[in-house]
This record gives sequence, C-alpha cells and structure tokens, in this order.
Amino acid sequence: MENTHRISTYCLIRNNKVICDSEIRFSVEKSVSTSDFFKELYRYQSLEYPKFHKMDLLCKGSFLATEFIVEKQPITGQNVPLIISNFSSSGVSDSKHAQMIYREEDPLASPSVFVYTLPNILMGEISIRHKLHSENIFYIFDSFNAGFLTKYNEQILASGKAEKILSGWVEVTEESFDIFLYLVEKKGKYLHSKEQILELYKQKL
Amino acid sequence: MEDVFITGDHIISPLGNTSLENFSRIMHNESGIQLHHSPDIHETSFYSSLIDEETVSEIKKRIKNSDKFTRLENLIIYSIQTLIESNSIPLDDKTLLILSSTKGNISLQGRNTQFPGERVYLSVMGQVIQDYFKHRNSVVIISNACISGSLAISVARDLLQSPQYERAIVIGADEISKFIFSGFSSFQAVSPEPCRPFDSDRSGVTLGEAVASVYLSKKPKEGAFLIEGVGSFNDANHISGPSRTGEGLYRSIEQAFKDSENPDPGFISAHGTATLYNDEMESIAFGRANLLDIPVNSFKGYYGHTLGASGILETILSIHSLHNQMLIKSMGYFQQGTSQALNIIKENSESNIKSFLKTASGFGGSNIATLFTKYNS
Repeated sequence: MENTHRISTYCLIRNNKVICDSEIRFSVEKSVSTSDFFKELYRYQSLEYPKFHKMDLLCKGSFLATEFIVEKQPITGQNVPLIISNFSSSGVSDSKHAQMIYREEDPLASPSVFVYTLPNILMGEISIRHKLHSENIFYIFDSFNAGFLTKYNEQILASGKAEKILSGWVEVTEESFDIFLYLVEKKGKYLHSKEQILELYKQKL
Repeated sequence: MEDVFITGDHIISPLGNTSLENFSRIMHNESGIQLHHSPDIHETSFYSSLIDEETVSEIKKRIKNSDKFTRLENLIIYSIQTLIESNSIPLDDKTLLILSSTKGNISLQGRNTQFPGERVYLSVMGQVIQDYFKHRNSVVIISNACISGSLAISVARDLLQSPQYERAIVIGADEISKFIFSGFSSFQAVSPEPCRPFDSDRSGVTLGEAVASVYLSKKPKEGAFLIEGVGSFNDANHISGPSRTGEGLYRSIEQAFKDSENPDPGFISAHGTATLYNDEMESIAFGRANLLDIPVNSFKGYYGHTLGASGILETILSIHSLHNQMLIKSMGYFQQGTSQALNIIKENSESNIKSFLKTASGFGGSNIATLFTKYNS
C-alpha cells in the first residue's frame, strides 16, 4: 500500500534526553534512575496532574512523551486511535507485584500495583488525560517494528476509521527507557514510511 | 472492506478439548467452575475453572519435545495443531498467526523454574510458537487486557485486507496462577461462590482458564460466520473502573452497527464478568443502544473469566449456539440485578437467528463490540 500520510510530530526519550522534531527539549547530564528522570521531566513540563504520581514507570514515560506531542499538535477530544507497542509488556510492575506476593514476610498483593500489570493501561492514562474515546491496540514485538506499524497504520487511515493515529514504541525498565511516539496524519514534516521512521527512531542522542 | 469469515474453531477448557464437546456440555448445564484447593494459586480454597493436570499431560503426549515448552505453550501449540489438521490450513507466507494473551507465561515470574527468565516475555512465547511450526511469518501478539481476544479477531480482519495474506489463525490463551489470582483478590473482585453474571446477588468474578482458536479466511464455506462490523472505543474515564454511562461500550456498539450492512443481532454474548460495576455498565450501554429486548447471556457462569481467551472462547460458543439453533441460558442468573432490565436468557431456548453481537470490556477503559452474521451461499 502507498504511504499517503505524514508524521506531524514525534517525541523520542532515551539516554536522559528528550528530542522532539529534531530539537533537544530536555536533558540531564548526571546519571539518574528512570524514576528520577521522569520526576525531573514532569517538573520541567510544569504539569499539575496528581494522577501522574500514582502511575508506574511505563505509564509515566508514555504520558510525558505524549505531553510533548500534544503541545505541538492538539488532539484532545478527537478520535485518535492509540496503536502502541513494546517488548517487556508491563515488566516493571509485573516484577513489583511478584516480589510482593512471593516475599516471605507478609506476602500481600496491592491493587495499586496490580492494576499496572497490563501494558494497555498506559493508553488508558493517555485517554483519560486527553479525553480520547478512541480505539486502543497494544502490540508486543521483540524490537520496534516500524515496518509492521507503518503498514497497519496506513491501512487504518485508508479505511476512514480515523484521520490521525498516535503510534510508537514504549520500552521502560527501572534502569533504562526507550520511548518513541509519533503522530500520523494528513500533513506533516516527515514522510510516514518505514525508512523515515527508523531514521528518526535511530538518531543518536 | 473485503469480507473475512470465521471458518473453523477449537477450544481447550475444563469442559473438553474440542468446540463440540464444550458446546454439548454447556448445553447440558455443565459448568467448569469447581471448588479448588491449590495453595500454589491461593492459600484457602477458591472457586475457579481450571484445566486439570491430567488433561495437560494427555495433551503433552501429542506435542513433540513437550518438556521444552511451558504448560501454556503446550496448550497453545495443541490448539493450533488441531485447528490446522481439522481445517487443512496451509502454513505458508499467506497465513498469519495472531496470539492474544493478557499475561502469557507470567506464572514463571519471580519463581525458579526449568525455564530461563526471558521465557516470561510474550514475544519470546511468540518466537517459541513460530519455531515449533517452522512458520515464516512472525507471530503477531496483542495484549490489551480483557478485550485482547475480541480485539485480535478485529486486528486479524484488518490485516487480512492486505493482498499479502489470505488467512489467519487467531489464538486466545491465559492460565490462572498466584500472580493473577492474588491481584484480582486484592481488588476484592473475586466471588466467594461461582460467579453470577447480571444477577442481583452477584459478588464478583470467578477466574478461569482456556485456550481458544479461530480460523479466519477470506474464502467462506458453508457454516462460516462473517465478521460484519467492529467498534472499539476507550471510556477515557478510569483505568480500573468501568464508565458509569457505558460511554466506550455504547460507542463501540454504534460503530459496529455502522460498520455493518444490515445490523440485526438476534442475541448478545455479553462480557458479563459478574462484578457489580461491569454488569451495571453493560446494562446502561445496551439500554442506550436500544438493545434491551435482545436476548443476552454471559458464558462466564460456565467458564469463569478466561481473560485474554474470553473474547475468542465466547465467540466460538456463540457460533455453535447459532449452528445448533439454541440460545444458551446465562448460568447463575435468577433476578434482575442491573438498573436497566436486560432480556437475560433464563432457559436454553430454540431460535433460528442468523446474527449475534459479542461485546467485551476491560481494564484501561477498553471496550469492543463485534457483529457476526452467518454466511449464506
């Protein structure tokens, strides 16, 4: 299928840096944990969204990346499907939940941890924040599969189901993060092709 | 949009290892839900619908090098293998394998087992399955909470729009472990008795296990079911509680109808988990969509909530209901327990309807509605 759409804006968060549309938006020089980096980024964005503090790391990272996208291209209240992927699903919360229920002393599950043991919850958080009553699909790949997503997204847009899609890759662990979200629509700076997407994703930070 | 049909199916559950056996047993009011004493899953006894280990051993005898695979992988491989054999499915480049699961091999998480730690990842499970069948296409994996199974059918239909693919095998699979049980318990969402969807005395879910597969093809055959329309929308309201207005599900149903040529569902296979909020939300959404007269059931009374498998399992049971011209009663239901009076099926009844609506909702605010219609040559 021909790629008829464009990428209007993207956000890449990796190696303690945030890049949006080829511009460095935020960086931290010293080595920090994922959790501290997201805290600093939240402060930088001067958000007041108490729900943020309850989220797990996967949701926090995806949420923050989406804030950069929405700042450039408002999508609030629109029909924008979220088609997002990663490798380790909700791995960070999975191991936290497992540690709690298998520990020798006082093994006990916590609902506030368990609820995050599903990767699609991050799309729920983004939907609540930006009032998106749209379709959500969470794919698991062994690595960012630009070829699959590009084809799939073009097809969804061609079907007329929606005019914009927020798509990408959100891999987050306690130690590192690799987040790449982008908005596909009719017009934009970048071509919506596998090659272009990989070039943006693979840029050195 | 090019038509896509369900032309074959297979179920492994506590009620049997074929779809026919499963349907025959629910038609005779049998339920897979039993009282279990299994400290590996929960300290005290609990109701659940679990595939017994004898069945698993029998299935493993049919799998080459079965000891190399986890319990769930063996069941998945068996289901795919059986579906391929009974439908003579060619496993070439034009065939897609699509797996839907909420938690896959999560029972390995945080435990010492014979399997390497990476085996807990769904994409590793996908690779294991691809390798077993020596398939050239990567297994497409969807993990979208409790709508995973229905969503995988919808995604398969989308993917089959490409001339690259002719057919797809869509598998839904989840098993119950301490990981999952303890989480649902912590939400106080597990019923102390077998679950009773839509009943006034319902008190939560019963968890269940199943592996269910469907064969999707662009070429129909007698007895096939057309995937006529799909809608899937988020509530944008709460990550663990359903919307009070049924917004996402209502929009999903409306879209599924818009997507269809002549929507006329004769029955609804609802999600019906038997939690207070889910069933109430569904009744509101069905009310808003003017569906209160349509006969509705939940299959959860027979199987419990089989998570990522539920959408596929319940779609297959609905298809067999229409094949047998028999609507199956909603087990555990006695008295109206939702603000909107639904037309819950109280006794198995004969019916010659041609079309049904399958709905599902899940954590993260996700919802899906799919309309299926019997193919008529």
